[in-house]
Amino acid sequence: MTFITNKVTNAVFIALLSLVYGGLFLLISGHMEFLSTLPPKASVNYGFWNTWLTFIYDGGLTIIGYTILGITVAIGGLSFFGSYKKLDEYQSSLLLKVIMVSGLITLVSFPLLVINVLSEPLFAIPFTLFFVVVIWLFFQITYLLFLIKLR
Amino acid sequence: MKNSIKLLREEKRITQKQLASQVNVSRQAINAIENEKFEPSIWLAYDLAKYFGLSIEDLFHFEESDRK
Repeated sequence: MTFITNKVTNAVFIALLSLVYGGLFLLISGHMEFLSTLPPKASVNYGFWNTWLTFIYDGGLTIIGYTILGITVAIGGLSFFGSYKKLDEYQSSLLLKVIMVSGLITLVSFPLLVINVLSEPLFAIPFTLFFVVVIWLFFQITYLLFLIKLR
Repeated sequence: MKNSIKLLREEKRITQKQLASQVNVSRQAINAIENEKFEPSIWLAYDLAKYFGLSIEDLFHFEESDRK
């Protein structure tokens, strides 16, 4: 469990993944080639998914990209300038719970994603993006709350 | 796990933060141990017992019902 005890290492790991996710969302948002892979607006009978699709068409991934990068900056700030650089065994046990809950969310998301894709194959890209956003933002926010609790 | 840490700490008139710095953990860890929300590792239990000049068994109250 020692690999998760260094807050700075954790922050660097999260920052690298967040740069990939955030950068990707900023890159594809509003990009014509990406938009051409999406199904037409209001093409399914589920209000929620149509709202999500409209959100993507309207450039909502830019907001998500900046949100991911913003949370990353906050995590970095709390990790580099916090009072303890290294987590003790109690804090590590709390972090392990955060990771376990996030892992559970990820495990549950995959079958839901598969079911959704099989029922509406045209919506595969919006579905995938939605679950990626939920999984990563959930982890980032819970990790940020964890760091705030340590203060 | 039940323990006498809070009692002994108050007898010594030291804060959770001061005790935490003596055994190299966070104040939250001491608070969680005192409130029986966290069971320390054998090494932290050893450090705490050593600080109070007691054995681990005297500091932590081992009861069969607490066994997991």
